Amino acid sequence: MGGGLFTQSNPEDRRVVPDEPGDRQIFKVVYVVLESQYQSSLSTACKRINAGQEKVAVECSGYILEELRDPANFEQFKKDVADANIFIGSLIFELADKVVEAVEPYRETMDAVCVFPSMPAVMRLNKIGSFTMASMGQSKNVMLDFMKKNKPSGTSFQDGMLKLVRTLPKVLKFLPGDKAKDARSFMMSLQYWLGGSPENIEALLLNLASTYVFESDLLTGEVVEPPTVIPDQGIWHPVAPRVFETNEEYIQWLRNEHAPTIGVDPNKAPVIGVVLQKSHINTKDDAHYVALIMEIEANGGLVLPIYTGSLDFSKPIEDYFFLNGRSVVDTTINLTGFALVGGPATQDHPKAIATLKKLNRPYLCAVPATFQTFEEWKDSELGLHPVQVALQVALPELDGAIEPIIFAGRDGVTGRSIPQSDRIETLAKRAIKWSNLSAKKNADKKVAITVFSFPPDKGNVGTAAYLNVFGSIFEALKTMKAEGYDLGAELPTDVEGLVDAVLHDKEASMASPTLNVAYSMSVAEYKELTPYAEDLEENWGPPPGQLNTDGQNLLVYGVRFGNVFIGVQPSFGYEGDPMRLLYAKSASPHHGFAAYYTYIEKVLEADAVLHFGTHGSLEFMPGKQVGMSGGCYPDRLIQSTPNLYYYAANNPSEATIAKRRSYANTISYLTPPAENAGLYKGLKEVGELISSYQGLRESRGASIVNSIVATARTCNLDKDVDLPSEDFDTAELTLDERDIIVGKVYSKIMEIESRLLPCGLHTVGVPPTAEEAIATLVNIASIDRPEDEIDGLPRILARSVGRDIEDIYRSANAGNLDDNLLSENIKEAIRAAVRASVERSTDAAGRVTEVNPMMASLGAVLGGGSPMLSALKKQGFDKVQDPDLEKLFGYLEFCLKQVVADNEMGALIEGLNGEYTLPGPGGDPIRNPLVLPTGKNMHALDPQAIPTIAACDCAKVMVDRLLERQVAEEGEYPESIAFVLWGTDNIKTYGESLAQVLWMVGVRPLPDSLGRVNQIEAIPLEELGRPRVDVVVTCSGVFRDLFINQMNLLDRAVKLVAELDEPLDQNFVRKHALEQAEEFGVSVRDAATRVFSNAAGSYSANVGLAIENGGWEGEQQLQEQFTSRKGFAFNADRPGILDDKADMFKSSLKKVDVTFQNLDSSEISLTDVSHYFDSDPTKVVGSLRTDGKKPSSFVADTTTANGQVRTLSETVRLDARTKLLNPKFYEGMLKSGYEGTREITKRLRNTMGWSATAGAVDNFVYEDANDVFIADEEMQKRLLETNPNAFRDMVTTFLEANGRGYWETSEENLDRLRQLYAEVDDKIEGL
Amino acid sequence: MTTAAALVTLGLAFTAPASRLAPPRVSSARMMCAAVMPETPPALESDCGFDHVPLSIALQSGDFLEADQITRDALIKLAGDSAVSRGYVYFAEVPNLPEADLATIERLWLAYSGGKFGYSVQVKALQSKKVNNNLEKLFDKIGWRNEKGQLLRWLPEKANNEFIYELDAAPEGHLPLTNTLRGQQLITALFKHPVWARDEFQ
Repeated sequence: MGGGLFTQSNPEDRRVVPDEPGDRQIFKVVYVVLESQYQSSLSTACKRINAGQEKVAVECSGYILEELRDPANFEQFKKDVADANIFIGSLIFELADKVVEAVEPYRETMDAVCVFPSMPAVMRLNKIGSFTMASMGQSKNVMLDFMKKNKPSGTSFQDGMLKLVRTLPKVLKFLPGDKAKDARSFMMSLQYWLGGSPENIEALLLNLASTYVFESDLLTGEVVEPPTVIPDQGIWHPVAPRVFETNEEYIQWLRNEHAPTIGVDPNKAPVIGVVLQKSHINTKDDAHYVALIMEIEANGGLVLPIYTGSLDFSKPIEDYFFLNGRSVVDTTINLTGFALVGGPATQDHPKAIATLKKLNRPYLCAVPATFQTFEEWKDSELGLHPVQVALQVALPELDGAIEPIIFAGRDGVTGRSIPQSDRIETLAKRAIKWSNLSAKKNADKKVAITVFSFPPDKGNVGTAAYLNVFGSIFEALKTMKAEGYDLGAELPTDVEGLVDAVLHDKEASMASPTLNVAYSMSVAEYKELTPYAEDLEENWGPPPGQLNTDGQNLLVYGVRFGNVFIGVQPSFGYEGDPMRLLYAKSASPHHGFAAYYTYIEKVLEADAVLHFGTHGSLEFMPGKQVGMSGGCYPDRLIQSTPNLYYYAANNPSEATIAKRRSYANTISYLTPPAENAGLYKGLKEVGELISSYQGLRESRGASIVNSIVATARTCNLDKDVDLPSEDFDTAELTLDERDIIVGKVYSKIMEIESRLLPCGLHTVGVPPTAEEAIATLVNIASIDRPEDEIDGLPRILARSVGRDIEDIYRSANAGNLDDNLLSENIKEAIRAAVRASVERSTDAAGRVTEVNPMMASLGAVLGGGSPMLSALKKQGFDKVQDPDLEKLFGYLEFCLKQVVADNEMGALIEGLNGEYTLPGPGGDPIRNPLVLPTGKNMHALDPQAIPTIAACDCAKVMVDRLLERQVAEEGEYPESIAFVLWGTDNIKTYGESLAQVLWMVGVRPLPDSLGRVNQIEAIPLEELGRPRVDVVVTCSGVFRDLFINQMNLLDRAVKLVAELDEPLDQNFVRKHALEQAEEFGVSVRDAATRVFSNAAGSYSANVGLAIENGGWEGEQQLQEQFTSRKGFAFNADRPGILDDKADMFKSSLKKVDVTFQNLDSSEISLTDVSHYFDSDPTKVVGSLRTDGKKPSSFVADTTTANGQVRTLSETVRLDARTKLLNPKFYEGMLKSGYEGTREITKRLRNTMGWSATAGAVDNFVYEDANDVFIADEEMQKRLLETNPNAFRDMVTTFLEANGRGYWETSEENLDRLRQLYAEVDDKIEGL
Repeated sequence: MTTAAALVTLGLAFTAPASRLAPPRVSSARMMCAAVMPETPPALESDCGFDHVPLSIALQSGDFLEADQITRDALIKLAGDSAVSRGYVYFAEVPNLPEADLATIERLWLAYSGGKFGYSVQVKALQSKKVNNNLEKLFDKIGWRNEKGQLLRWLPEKANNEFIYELDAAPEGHLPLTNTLRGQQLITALFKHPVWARDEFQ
């Protein structure tokens, strides 16, 4: 296996030398192509020349572009080029610099250089006689105008070139013969190339050789035949007598001639549209196409296969997939692997989406593995080559493509495309099932709705981030019923009834030990229907095993209503097993898990499965990262069932995993609108005291300040603000000094008050109320959008009072009372203005049904200006003018429309109808309102586009603040900082945390000419102005899956810096790498290993699972899990594998002074999910450091315009105060009943996670939580009634926190908890 | 015209020289592996006047490599002109392959291999309890896969051809080869042909 490089195919296999050169004149050809399909045409052409020519012979060496990454291959390539006569290159959009580096020095001495569509730098190498492209800009060259007009954007570059090929012969007629000759030669060569067959390539080579190498006619026979070509685009079927150029003709042939011979009824069979590349057809490298077409036809489908030679595949779709304006295909499969419009160059996604929306059918984009050989893909744990993932998985996703199935690959020896039979079968069956959705009547369709249970416990059935799952399912069922689905006679009439039906009886359910059993599968049936069952025995023993079983049979939990099944996805099964949690690679699914999906596919025979909410575990089962094989568990489990997946709009990264690994078509749902956390209890009192201080600061200032200080102390604010000691009388202070104290407390209070808090849970298909829309718009209005040249309202208002907003923030942070007040006033004014703007669109029911123009009657109304303006004036901002507001509120109007438009339920019904789901970005609707309206098939971003320049700017600010704070506290720069990188964060922020790492080591990322960030340069120390700080980067498994190219960038940056000859006190990366090189006996470059993640196909440190389960032994276990599971290093020098480098990981962590994480959105904060503490290395570092010192821990909070760097403890306190302890939060949750109680318990557990991994939780947090939820009897009762299982878990968590030494409290409290535990437990167990 | 179809499994497509379709040179210099000699030569029947003599000669002389090639070429020709110009058999053409000719081909293979080679041998293996109609398992059983689990390569240069053409050395059912380069529908259709169910092949 490839030693870590991605492709090990050998260019030597491609070398052609004449067997018997005799005294023939030899010319030498070197080629580099992206498309391996040219390889066999070129080889055959050369062999034909050598067999057929009497006076000349050819020697040829060829390279597949990707092979140039291997240094040995690259050296050989340079040698080959050095004595070549002719160079040919095609589609070089990657590695352009390498090709130029090798070819440029010999360009002059070569006889001809022919480069077909590629990066401009490579195109400029072209040289055919006098024809060049290097002289662009000076001569009146035909190509010149073409190149100028066709800057590589959209598809115009490709298409323009092709158009030119077609029209050029006519143009050339009008040019003087001599001058046009060489240009004509180039264009002829291109035509031969596009023709692609061995005959065409032979003619191309001989033509160039006779004219430019030998400059005389030495050729045997008639060689300069005109290129033989098939039409630029058409409909091609392997059995058809010819290529068709209209679909009427093809359909006639298909229905009348072909369908009968394959035994298919054309009136009933689904029609699968297939998009092909012309170059595979004209080079006859079509075995993989033929295989899929046969497979579809053998499965009872008809095929409409279209091709084009251009890279705009939307054109043949427009031309051939419609008849009389209606779609004639039921599903489309793009077999090119490219984005629909633009191929490997530059894409035009809106154009692609417009075509696909018009077609309105599922759009699958299957991938031929072209950057690695077939064997390499099969053997690789990573699966598909990352460059190809970026090009042929991530970019098609932006078009709304689903199901990136690797259907074919390249044979290592011949370069021919070969199909993978089992993948072809999967693809064909899946396409047919998608097609059935549009053919079948709703009444006949069977749908399996799958809910999750995390952690596996009755109290957690229906877990999903921010989603009221059962409420949403209830709504979905109502809608489906109205659409004609058969839901049987016993559909519950309310949500409670639905919950009961699944849980059996959730209260003294209690009496029934298990969930409702929908199906009981005998072991014999299970084995017969689950071909891979035997493979699970290695981990789980023989079936039925211990999980989801009654000891005899495998049990499928759930309930069936008519044709709709609601089932509970089984758990991973190893949550409580310390050994399994420690495994570097995750265990296979257990028998019960497999039985669940076998039931859906083979027993229920579902037409579609609907996974309900973020997220389950199917897509996290072991297997390749991207590009599943038939041995990967997600593929084995989902089989051929179309997968619709409701996914939270703010989590595009994990949604992407679901799309790629479990073939999900996601439907985004809105997270609840965020409101301000507000103040409560003591904090509220402090707030009120501060208000009264403003009026009375001179008369009664001191006594009020004394009260403020005392109350603040009861709220534990002394942990955050430097308060005078308890018995100190502030009367001894000056007015200014008192102001500072009040200002600082106020600043802290306001930080809590204005923290955004998602309120309650979302129900699918319920658009936000006007109030909720206002909350969202306020946040949108508060952000500057420099890319759209829109200033946020805070900036506008600050400017109107002659201030700079940053200046106000800075001064307020420092405790300046006036600026704290001003800052507050600005916030109030924003709320008032936005409220005024939405008011005219709000109906009597408090909803926005129609958005009216916000600025319409601008200024017209009696000189009063817009309603926003008057709202602002009322708040005291009377210098603002309407023109200042126009741009912002124009934007907000657009946003309001997005906010209230809702297609969540619509997209589900459309998906079940076999229609196309519109794609859209996932992320934070506040940062990127294009995330709205929800109901979209979510995608991440072009992974090569990050980090953006804006992200780099923000990163620099945060890093500088972090270093500033650390230097202020410790007196020196930290030598090393541990980072955690998350997929979603980097999508939302366009790579901010990625850029932070680069800035820390002092490296600047650079884009290439297509804007793809793939280069780096070291920032000189003088410019950096500080030492280079070392890093240890722990990437989440999801980040690794999405951004492996960026891991490459980071590793290159670290290695680059480690190898700089700089003083060690100015370059800590080098300092540490030198030490480690010595310690491990390796090179400095290898010692500079700082980018880590999980093993391929494995996710998380499993610390979260252990904490949720409670069955962990001690912190030592958690730390071992972290270092063994996360200790897999990425190495840019061997990018194909992740090496187990736990030793290097520990050695680097040992040197860490600071641990650091980023927080990018308030709705996924430190205690909302287990991810953050799962990956936090704080205690790990503490135990590894030789001095035993706990590192400083910081969190960068960019959730608000005024970004902050806080300590981890400060952030945990802030989170606890705004959520777990905040009545606004828990009362909001309790409104959602069963799920709400669980959400509260989850926050408490996650809080304890921070005690376990970072020791970052203050005692008062547990104490206060106990007061709120346990000491209050009424609250106790409410929790117990709504969700007894979750309440028991809460009681357990308190006891556990105490038992593990994280919470010291009174015996009274503990007694109460112990007693409660016994009571609840008895009740649940039905005693 | 090519016999690009005549390649097997995950090997590769290749344009074989047209001479492949010519009758075999009986006095081939190839190393032969003695064929089994039946008491009476099998009857050469055809529904369409197809010449089965070349196959018969190749098998008699123990040239199983040649016989294998002739067999695949024969299927293409028997499938009709469009298959010949295409260079391979489309799965939907298989049911229409003339039964008498397939039976003749099978008879010849069985006779000269002592019942070791032949489509019906492969079909029986496929239907065996252990293989249970799973093609992947069949490939293991008839030796089409190497120890690494990869399918063997068929290459026109004999030296690179990984299949076994010696009667003694080859596993049961190893020949004749059927191309799976274009997926498994061709071989699936071929195995479903009713001719293999004839009594004479049981």
